[in-house]
Amino acid sequence: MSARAAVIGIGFSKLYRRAEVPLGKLAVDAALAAIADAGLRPGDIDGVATAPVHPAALPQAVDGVSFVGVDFMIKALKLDPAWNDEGTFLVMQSFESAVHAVAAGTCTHALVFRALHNPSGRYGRMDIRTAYGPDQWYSTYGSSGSTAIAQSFHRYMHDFGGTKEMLGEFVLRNRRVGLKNPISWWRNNRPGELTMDEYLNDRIVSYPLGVLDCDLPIQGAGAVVITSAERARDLVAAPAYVTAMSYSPEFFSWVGYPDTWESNVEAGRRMGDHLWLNSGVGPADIDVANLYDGFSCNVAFMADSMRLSEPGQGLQWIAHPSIPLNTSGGNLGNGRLHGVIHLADGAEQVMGRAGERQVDGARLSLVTVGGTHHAGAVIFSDDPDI
Amino acid sequence: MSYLGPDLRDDDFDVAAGVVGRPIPDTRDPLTARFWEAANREQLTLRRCSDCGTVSHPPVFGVCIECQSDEFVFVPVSGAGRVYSYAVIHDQRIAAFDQYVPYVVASIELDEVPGIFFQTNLPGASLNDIRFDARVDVFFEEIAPDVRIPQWRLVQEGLR
Repeated sequence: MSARAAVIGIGFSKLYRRAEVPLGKLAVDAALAAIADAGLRPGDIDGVATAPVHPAALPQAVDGVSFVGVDFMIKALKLDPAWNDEGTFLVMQSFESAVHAVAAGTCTHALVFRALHNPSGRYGRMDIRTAYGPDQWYSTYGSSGSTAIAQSFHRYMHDFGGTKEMLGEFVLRNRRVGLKNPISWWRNNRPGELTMDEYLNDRIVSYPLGVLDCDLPIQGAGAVVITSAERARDLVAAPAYVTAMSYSPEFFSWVGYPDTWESNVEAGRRMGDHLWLNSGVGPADIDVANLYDGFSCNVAFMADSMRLSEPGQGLQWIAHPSIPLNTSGGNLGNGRLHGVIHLADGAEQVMGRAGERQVDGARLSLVTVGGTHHAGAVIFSDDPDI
Repeated sequence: MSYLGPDLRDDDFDVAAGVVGRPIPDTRDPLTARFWEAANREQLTLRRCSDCGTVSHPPVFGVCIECQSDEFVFVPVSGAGRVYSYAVIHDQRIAAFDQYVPYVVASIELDEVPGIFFQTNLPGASLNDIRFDARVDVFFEEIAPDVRIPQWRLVQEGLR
């Protein structure tokens, strides 16, 4: 089946450490950059999608300040869209939704954006008095955001002979590659490479994860413009065609909550197997992969899930990947932009415009966004009929 | 593989006696109330579907995922199990635990129903004793008047 949609424009705002510039302004910057990159004007945009979830609970949510929803963007750009979507979970789901809207003919030029807010203060602090729902068995024991993934990954390391040094190889490389990405907060503010010594002596968050295994919260925005495959050819020289996509739900077995490496890998495996079936290609056909790195260890699980590594060898693989991995620099190399960075580089690789990060001859590019549960996967190609 | 962080003193782990103001489970939740009533009687229970017998935890899902029934009984279960994994928390995220950092949050798997996991702080354990697959057994910690939660302790092998 021929690809029905393609990415034709990409844009980012400057990334700030804190909310020094109102988020709405940054979202508009990213949107205007992507629209111009696509060779379009704002008035050409007739579809808008985003997933404005906060990373942290906020006492007061204001559109354009602490988050940016579709309504803000539509007003700011004076749009009259045929379609919009704010009901999705992560930007990957917004992206997939926009591809569907374009393929169905509901809109012609869809803007997908994601703006992340980082207010001042300690990140992710919670003063919980009562635990509700499944959390009755989590925060009661002091289990917070990184605990379950740390437990899962600790067992994975134990079962398959993984080491912190292997994880460190991946983290160091991400930072190094991120320094080649013009948008990277690190490149623009603290442009030094990490050393293995620094990594191994890093402050611990939830052992085995340290601060350097977690992405840096930032304030900024990224956007892409999507159109139909036919229209794409009229607008840009080298579109990034969307060959196939898939999206995972939360996976838990009959027994309950997904705290094990087994359930983490299985969630992604199901997503990956749907993707390979939808696309007609396999892991061995992929030239370059951007796998979401909110936590470094997410990538090890995803590599295993996507069958890029042998079963159980996800950590070994990300230490020494068989194909270029996270050529974007990922969240770890740029700052926490929740997957827009991965989508952007994934598209740019097959468009041949990834500059210093370009993989020569990249024709099939894999992007995954999300841990493994509630994650999405897309394959971009330089040919609508691969 | 070796833990590279600062080691923990034994008294850091007396979390059972120490943590004041732990988040309290919502004991009025109709789906989970029977679990906490039993816990208050120092009994560990699991929810079992009345129609097909499928057991699940935590008991927060409104229907049985095998047969979609919404009728359940809570049955006693042995608290014996093994350490599936553990994390050592150095980060101050949940206010009540701030002064206990670093502390352990372990995931244990029950012997009687493999695939059922519980979180625990392994109170009383020192870090050097915690191993993957270590044997554990349940006890109950009172965290507020008439609110008890299951915790697990390492079982000393060969002392029985």
